[in-house]
Amino acid sequence: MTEPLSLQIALAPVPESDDLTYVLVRIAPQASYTSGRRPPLNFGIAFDRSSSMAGKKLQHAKDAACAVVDLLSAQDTFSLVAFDTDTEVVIAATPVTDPEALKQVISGLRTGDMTALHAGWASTGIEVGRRIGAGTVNRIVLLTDGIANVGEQRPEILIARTRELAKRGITTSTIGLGQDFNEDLLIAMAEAGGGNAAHIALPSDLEAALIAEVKDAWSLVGHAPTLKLKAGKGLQLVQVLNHFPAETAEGFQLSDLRAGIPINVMAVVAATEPAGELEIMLEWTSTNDAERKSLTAICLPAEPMTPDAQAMVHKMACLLTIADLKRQAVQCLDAGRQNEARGLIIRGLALAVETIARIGEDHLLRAEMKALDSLEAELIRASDVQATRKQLTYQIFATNTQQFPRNLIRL
Amino acid sequence: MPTDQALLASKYHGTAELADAAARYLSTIAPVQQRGTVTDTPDERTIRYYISEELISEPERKQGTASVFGYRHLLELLVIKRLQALNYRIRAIREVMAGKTTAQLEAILDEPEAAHPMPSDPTPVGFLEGILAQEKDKISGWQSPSQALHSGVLTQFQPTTWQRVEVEPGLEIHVRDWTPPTEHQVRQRLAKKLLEAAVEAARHNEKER
Repeated sequence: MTEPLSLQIALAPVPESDDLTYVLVRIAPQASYTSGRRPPLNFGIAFDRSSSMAGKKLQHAKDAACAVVDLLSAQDTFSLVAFDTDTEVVIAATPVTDPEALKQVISGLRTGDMTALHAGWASTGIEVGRRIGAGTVNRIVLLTDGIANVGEQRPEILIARTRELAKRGITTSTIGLGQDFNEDLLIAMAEAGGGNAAHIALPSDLEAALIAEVKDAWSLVGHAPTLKLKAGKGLQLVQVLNHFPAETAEGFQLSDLRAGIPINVMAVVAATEPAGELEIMLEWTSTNDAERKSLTAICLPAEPMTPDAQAMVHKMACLLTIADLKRQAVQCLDAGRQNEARGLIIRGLALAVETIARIGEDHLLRAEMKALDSLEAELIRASDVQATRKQLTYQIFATNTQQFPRNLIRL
Repeated sequence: MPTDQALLASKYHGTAELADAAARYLSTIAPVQQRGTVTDTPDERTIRYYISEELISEPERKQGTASVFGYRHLLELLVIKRLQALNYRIRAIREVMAGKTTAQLEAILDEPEAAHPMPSDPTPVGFLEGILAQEKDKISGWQSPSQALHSGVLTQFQPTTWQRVEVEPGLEIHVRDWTPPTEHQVRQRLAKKLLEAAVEAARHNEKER
């Protein structure tokens, strides 16, 4: 079977530099690839039922889990592990042949005490792991409103373990509910786990978030992708604008590949010879046959490009640079320097305006400007800095993993 | 940890000198414990307990009545405190330290994950079961007073942060930054836990007498 994705390359000179070139590597899984069929889903929910989930949060979380069950069918597997001070396998991995029975079990969930986040995640992984099969899409969704306070709590260990599990075929996505969870941990776990990170402010939005996870899993084309960039003679790789969670011998770790959702990687290269080449190597595990696949392309940064292609490159460079300014703004907020954070957001706005002036009107850049305006207003009000911090961190994640609102994707 | 020649050749006469030397290093290498379940720095009694439990090797020799300790003893003591600060139980520490060379102990001191490397099992279930097995060897947070007594390391209460409450003659509880649970079931579970811990500690005291 032909593999359902292509590597596309676009170039543009870096403004105000003599020898630097932006190289945009676009990994483009075909949108039509999954149409008319979907892979069997092996879906596990790590369900926080600590005391802080009591009331509306628990009810909405239960409703959301039931909505997931309603979407699945007998070819899919579902599991649910509830965690508080301890973990309980509420629904061991089972084919969804009797959704009503599963929903009844979910309805019986009650709140407990503390938050054994790590053990809850690991136990869910064991359930999902028991049902891994060729061609199944295997996913944990960690749903929590709090901070891990029982068992292993060191973020670096949790993140490393999530990465290891992704290598073993199980993706981890995270959903943070409310304002009291650790967004740095949940985002980093999702990045390492190849999944999505969502922040849900209102419990009533949980159902939509979990359903989006199921649909996202259905669109999966490739798991555990890595990208390696190798500069040949006459070329120097100066920088990669994306902030990837890890670079190993295999290259940069990317988020999972979804049908119709391109991943854009932006590098800056310096050519010392006109014939300098950049070798691009992509590897991923296909959801077709669970085999590791690879694709290689050679880029000549001296190659001429159409104005449209150059515009696309400038747009992505702008968005990734704004993500970097937001990252610096988060650091300023953590240090209590809110004015400085605001200054960085304003710089982002100026950059977006400048880029629109260069390439013309663009939906995605307008949406980014709207988000920056709103952030700036919040920083002036300074009423809830933690909420602003959460917005910033999730926006950075979205840019890095290309999870822009899908109707805005015009690349 | 600086492993210069002077340190390697240092000798400590008696458990008090060894405890002092460890305290000097611990101030820089041990993470602050969140729950105050074990002493931050070892005292003489604790060191004697570790020796009796074979966590620390026998002294090199006797000089008069004092035991003479060296670099290996200091390293063993620091590794114990480092792992305790990361919530390892005494039993788990014994397993981790068994048969380790001096270089391996130094590695654990620098990076405690060296004590329990990432499980290499290629399957997700084997990998995660390996992780959870490691977790079981750690204290999950709350440690009962009797466990603390059995492990020979007594809680060091900070008068500025701990509130002592005498429940009845002979029974005292210590409270720090703790929020009482509101749910009935959780309160009942806690009451049961407290009673079990007190009964176990009383039994232990009885046995000691």
